[in-house]
Amino acid sequence: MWKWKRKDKQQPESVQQTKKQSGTLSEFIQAMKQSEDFVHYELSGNTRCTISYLKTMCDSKILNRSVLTTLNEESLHTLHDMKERIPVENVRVTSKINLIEEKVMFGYIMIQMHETDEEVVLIPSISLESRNVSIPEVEFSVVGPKEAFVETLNTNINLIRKRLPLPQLTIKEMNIGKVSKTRVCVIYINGIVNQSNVETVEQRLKGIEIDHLTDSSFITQIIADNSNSPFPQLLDTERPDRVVSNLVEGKVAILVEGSPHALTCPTTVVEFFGASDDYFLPWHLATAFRLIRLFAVIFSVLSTPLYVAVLTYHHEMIPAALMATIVSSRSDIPFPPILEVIVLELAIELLREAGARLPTKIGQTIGIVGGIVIGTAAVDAGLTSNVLLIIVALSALASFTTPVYQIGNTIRLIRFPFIVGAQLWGLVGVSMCMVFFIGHLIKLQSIGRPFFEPLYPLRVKDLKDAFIRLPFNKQTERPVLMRTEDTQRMNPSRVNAKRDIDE
Amino acid sequence: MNKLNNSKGLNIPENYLVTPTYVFFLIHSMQVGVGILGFEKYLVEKAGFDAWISVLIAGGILHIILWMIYRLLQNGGGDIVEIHKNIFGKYLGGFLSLLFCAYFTLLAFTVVITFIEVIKVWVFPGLHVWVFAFVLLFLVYYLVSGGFRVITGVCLISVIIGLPILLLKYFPVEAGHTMNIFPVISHSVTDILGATKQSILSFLGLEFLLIYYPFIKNPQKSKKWAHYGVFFTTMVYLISVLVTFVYYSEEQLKQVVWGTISAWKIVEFPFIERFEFVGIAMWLYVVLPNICLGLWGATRIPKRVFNVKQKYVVILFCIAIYFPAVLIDGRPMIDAVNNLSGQLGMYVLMYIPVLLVLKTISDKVRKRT
Amino acid sequence: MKKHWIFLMMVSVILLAGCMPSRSVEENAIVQIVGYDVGEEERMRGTVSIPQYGKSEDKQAASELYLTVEADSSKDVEVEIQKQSSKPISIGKLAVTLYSKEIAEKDLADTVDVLSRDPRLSRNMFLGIVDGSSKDLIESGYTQDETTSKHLQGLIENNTLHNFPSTSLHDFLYAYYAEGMDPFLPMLKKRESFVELSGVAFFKKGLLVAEVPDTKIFTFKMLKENFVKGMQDLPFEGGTIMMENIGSNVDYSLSGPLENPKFTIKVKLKAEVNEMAGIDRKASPKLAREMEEKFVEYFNKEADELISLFKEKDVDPLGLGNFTKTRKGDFDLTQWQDNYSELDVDVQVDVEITEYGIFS
Repeated sequence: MWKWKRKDKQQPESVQQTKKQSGTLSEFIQAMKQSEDFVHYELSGNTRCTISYLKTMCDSKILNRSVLTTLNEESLHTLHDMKERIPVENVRVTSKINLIEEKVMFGYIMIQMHETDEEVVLIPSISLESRNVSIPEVEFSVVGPKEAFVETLNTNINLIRKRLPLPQLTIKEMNIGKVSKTRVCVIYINGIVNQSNVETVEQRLKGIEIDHLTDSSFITQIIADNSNSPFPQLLDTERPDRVVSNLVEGKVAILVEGSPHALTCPTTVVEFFGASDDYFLPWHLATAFRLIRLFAVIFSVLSTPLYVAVLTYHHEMIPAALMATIVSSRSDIPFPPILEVIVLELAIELLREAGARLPTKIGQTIGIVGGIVIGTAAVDAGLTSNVLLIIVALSALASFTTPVYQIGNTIRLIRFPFIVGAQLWGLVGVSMCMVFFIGHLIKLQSIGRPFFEPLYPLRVKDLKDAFIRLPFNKQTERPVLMRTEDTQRMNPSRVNAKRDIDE
Repeated sequence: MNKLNNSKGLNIPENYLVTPTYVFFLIHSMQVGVGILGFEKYLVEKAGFDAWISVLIAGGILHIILWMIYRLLQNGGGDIVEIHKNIFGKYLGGFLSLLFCAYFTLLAFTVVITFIEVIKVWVFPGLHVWVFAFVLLFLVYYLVSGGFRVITGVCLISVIIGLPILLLKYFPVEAGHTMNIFPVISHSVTDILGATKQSILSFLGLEFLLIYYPFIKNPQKSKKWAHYGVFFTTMVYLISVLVTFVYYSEEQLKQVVWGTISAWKIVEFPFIERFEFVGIAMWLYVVLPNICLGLWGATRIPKRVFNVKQKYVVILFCIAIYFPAVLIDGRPMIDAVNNLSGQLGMYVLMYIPVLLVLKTISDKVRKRT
Repeated sequence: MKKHWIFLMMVSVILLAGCMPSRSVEENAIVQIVGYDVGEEERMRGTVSIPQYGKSEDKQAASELYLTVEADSSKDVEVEIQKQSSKPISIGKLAVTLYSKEIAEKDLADTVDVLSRDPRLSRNMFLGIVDGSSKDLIESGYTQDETTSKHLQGLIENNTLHNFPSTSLHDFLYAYYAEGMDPFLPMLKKRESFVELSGVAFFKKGLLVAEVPDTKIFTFKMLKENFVKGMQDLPFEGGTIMMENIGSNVDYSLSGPLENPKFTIKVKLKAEVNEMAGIDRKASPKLAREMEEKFVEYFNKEADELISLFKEKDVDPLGLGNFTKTRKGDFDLTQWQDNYSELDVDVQVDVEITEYGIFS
């Protein structure tokens, strides 16, 4: 394993060497000519020059309407003339080979006076092929904004900027990935955010060693404080409104080109159980739903382990009235509870995986057919008890109540150690497993901030928006977790000004 | 010169410190352990139903001792190791510190074996202790290796989880005989003082302040919280005692080894009966801070005295606890260990005033010179 | 790499070695009721019933398996039954334990000691004394849809809500061990096709020494604890009146020196009159006053009878000694026991009839 890691470290150096080989512009052009979609020809109209671009990356409208017409109608002799005459924004003259390479690859048009010239003019004509902004599917909400991020970074930034028309909204960009050079943006609001958080994020992003970056989830895994933890340590969301409210709280957001998910950090474990719906409903309703969700998560993780523990070791705990039901449902089952539970849990996971890989409509059918048909058949055949079937189905259902998909996966899996613990030492085993996970959560950090935050370190102020959500006028301060530079959200004295009757 | 040394020896980076509020949880969770599940029996044997007075007296004494500990630490320049070094010099001081280390280890060890005993008696008579102890100590190692902040977190969680268990006291009160509680004192002062000693034994744990004091941010402010912690513990014990007195008759209580667990038996909900299984499982949360903080305190002393890596000391101590824990079996031996650690704890508490006097004298001498 | 292997090894060792020998619920024979009788040759005869849960369809019909063994002690009964059972015996859910009157008159101390020590048992378990053979009582099924244990458990529990004072293993042990307090247990009797709670059995330590019939239970409970339900029929002017208790309060007070204490038991009873059989008068406040007087008279008489019975048999189920102990610092048990038979107990009953003659 270590050997493999060492190889990984050596790789980037060799990549850098190959890059250095294309030292001059002509060599670059030679290299590009290998590709069929690289267009490189000499223009012989009024202006004589060499024009090169990637036809798959360029917008032909800009090329035909603005560039070629200008070049053909007017006679331009220097690159600077071109820069002034061509009616496209942000045209620049440069001879920096690195810049030229990068820009051409993104779809800039490169014009040289002569083939051999080192100095070129670069005209941006990137064609943006992108999906339209659509409604969020993973984090759907009934009320509230219905825009979701898409795969284009600029569109995503646009979605954020239009919600926060602030000069302080700062966007830092960097390229990550030795091969892919993916654009990654760090977004924060100056004056609210704690600079040390931004520094940590930037430092960690810069430290990323990877060849190509497909999605933001790569970043979650790489820059996580503890990458062996099953818990995601950066919140990922596809809702621009959620990102914006996080930015306003003083968090840092990371956007990745090609990924329809934004990451926000630092985050806490309770944040994963809060839905954006919670803020669109009156606070007491939202609180109730949050608590239901929390209960659902606890139920989902603990119900089958408790079933194993109680049925295997502690049957004194079953009340006499329930005893008949449970015993008669189990009476013909040939397997011990642990085996029964593991088989059924795995069957549910199987259905879920199968459903997730299939197209939506077939997926649903598979879920229903699998759930109902296999379930009843298994009970009829006497392989599982119907009490357990109910418990497993409910706990599977409960694991779907988490608003963030990533934590849902965690919850699906962490119940298995609990089941093993239950089989080992009954309730004591379950409790030991729980201690381990609580200890783990206490140890975890998100960008250097405690992950288990409103609970430990206990911060009563942050508990106002953790398991419960108090009304907005009670939340006049930003969460303590971020150590924001400006802690006040609004003027509390004005918010809570007391009015007399009839005033 | 000495002062310079002090600040150099105990410069703990700020991100390892905890805020003063947590002293409440640290002190309380360390004081409440396995003892509370069955301490009533020992009190009643000494002072009958008048033992509630002993609990109050013990609480008062502990407040005084806590005050002394703070006096000791205020200008002691750090922890007990530093104080020992200043008063007794490097070698004798180091030796005394190691005695503390042994005492802390014994405390952690006592808790481990008593908890295993509870599980063996109440849940799994055929428990494979060598596996269970291994997993338990592995868990402890995992938590202790997280450092003091993680242990503080465990203390906090343990208090939060322990509070609902306190609510279960309602059931025995409902089933009990409230007329048993009547303030008539029928025992002599010596009886009550004997019971006071017994209850101080179950109150042990605040002496750990001597070792984690440098980890508290603004330690002066933590004084208040420490006293709250001791007060809260006294109240919890008082409630336990009163509830047990209501639920059991005096002679019956002398038969019952684990009063609180027996009382859990009558807790019934429509979906669950026989709450003692849940109670014992939950008690793991209450017991863990005891073991973790005990082990942490015990291993920090060698680190401070010999400058060795605490990581390795923890592993060593885990192993040192593991083998005796597997070998010890049976009520008499466990009782003996409990008595031993109680006796030592008593001496440690008595040693604190002595140390305070010695320290004041040595400070005065030093000032003159 | 090495570290990972060691870790994997440990996990598998823990999983393989750590598992407790276990049997899931349905593989156990869950004993819910056990009865003890006097057997032959100084041995005891134990009877258990094990409910047989069938497959889900006929959940309603409860079938039971009865096993009877001869054994030397109550602990031995478990061992002997194990020999007859196809599944391991689990006594964790034991809900009712019955002793025949014969065995209770011999001494229950040994079995009680076992009960108080076994951590598997529930403290809410009911104990009962059977007037007759507990084997017969267990083995005759009473209802179609309930097991015997559930039936008897329900029977005792229901009665504790009404006329019978609260009872359980814990209550028994409390009084058994307490100084100046003696336990009591419900008495069950099998009639032709049903079982009834026929009275209270009073114990001196583990020994059954006295019993009173079910007509006196109400008075006993009234003296023993506060309660809100329960009925009692009382004779009045040649007829019978059914009185329903809607709240009674009992208050003990102690006066005088320890050598010669004087107890006052004040009972305040609020009652409704439901039925008047054989009384040819109209309900009126005057009649109510008369009834109240008669009731007070009746209850005072009954209570005095009970207490003189207790004194005669030297039992103290009301816990007067225990009460004195909590009130007087210098309580001495032997002295108390010597004086018990001459103890001055004054019962003052106050009856208030709140409703009468309401027809619904």
